[in-house]
Amino acid sequence: MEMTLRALGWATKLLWIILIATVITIAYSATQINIAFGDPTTAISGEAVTISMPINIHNAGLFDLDSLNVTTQISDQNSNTLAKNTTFTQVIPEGTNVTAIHMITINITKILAQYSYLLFNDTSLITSQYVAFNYANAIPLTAHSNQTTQWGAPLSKLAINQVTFQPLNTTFSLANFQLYFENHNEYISINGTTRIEIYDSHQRLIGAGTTAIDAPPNSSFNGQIVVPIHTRNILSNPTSVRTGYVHLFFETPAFSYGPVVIPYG
Amino acid sequence: MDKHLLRLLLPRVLKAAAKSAIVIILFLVISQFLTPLSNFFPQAYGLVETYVVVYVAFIIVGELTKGSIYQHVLGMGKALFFIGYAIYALNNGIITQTIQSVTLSVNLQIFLVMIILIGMLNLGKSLLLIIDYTASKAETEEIFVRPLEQEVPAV
Repeated sequence: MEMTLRALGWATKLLWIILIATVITIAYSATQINIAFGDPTTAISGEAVTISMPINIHNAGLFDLDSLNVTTQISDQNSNTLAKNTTFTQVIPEGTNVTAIHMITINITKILAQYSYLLFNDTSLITSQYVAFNYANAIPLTAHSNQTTQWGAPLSKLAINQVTFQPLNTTFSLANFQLYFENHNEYISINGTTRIEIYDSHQRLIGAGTTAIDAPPNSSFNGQIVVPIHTRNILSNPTSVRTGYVHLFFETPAFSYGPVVIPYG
Repeated sequence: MDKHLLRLLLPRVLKAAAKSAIVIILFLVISQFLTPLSNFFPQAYGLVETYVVVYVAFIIVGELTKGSIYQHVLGMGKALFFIGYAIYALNNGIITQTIQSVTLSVNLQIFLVMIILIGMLNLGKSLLLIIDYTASKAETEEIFVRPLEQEVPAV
């Protein structure tokens, strides 16, 4: 019995020594790790916006740091994922310095095609960042943060005023109206063209044209649009053109979207 | 008070007071190192403080019941408290804290396993001590008390 009790006592002491030594060395090593997030840079190429962020990890501790996972997700208020990317580093051995580039690409055309309300409504977007790693092959650690950023609609308050028809000559008339929108977005520049199609109340195409639009970030566009129309389209059924629909197709370097259907009359 | 009882208790009380004083001084020293932890784990100080209070209580009662079976029963209670409190304090091994807008989560289950193992060893040791105590007591009765009873003829 005495031997057993003595053995139990030694085992307890040994476990205490191992526990305390492990806690002290891991705690000391953890203070020697330096994780620095660099300034993010934004690159716009075509319809994609790429945000890159360098992550510098200096592991001066006594243990390896493995399975480093950095994930960024941008989602809207309805929890729809707009963009997501993960950067994974297998292992950062002790005493090494590693720089990983974490990138997230936002395809504006794809997002706006799927979530068209973002074109017309200002809203808040949620950026979730998740960092996880395993320290000393024993302690998994995760950090998670949510940040809210304001999304400015590039075609906010899009509207046209009353369409008026003016005869140009015996063959053509001109449909006149004012196109107005505000670009609330900080990054997207609306610099392109708008294709306009005018349909009468019977949904017959009575005229079409293209006009240039230019609205830099945080500005508004207010332009007079003139679309030539065959006079016979008006004369054949004058009452049907009093009301109808204008279809707008936007073509910009950042996105292509259409039709936006706006009734007139 | 009975002189014999006083002579028995006084050294034990003094020993318990000395042991408690050492533990309290150690706690006061360690609590200085807990201050930097307070940002990440604000409950740390309170948890350690509660543990020290209970531990001191165990020391005092343990010293007063020294030499009896209660000392070992108390040892079992201490081991069980150690295990239970470790599970509670380490939140089943996963500590989650929110600092400003960042939620940090650390999985300390490996430490919890080690602590539970230490507690189990102490529990086993106390159990063996109880068995040893009762066995040796029964043995003493067998050797000394029964022969004496047999010698005295029943009236």
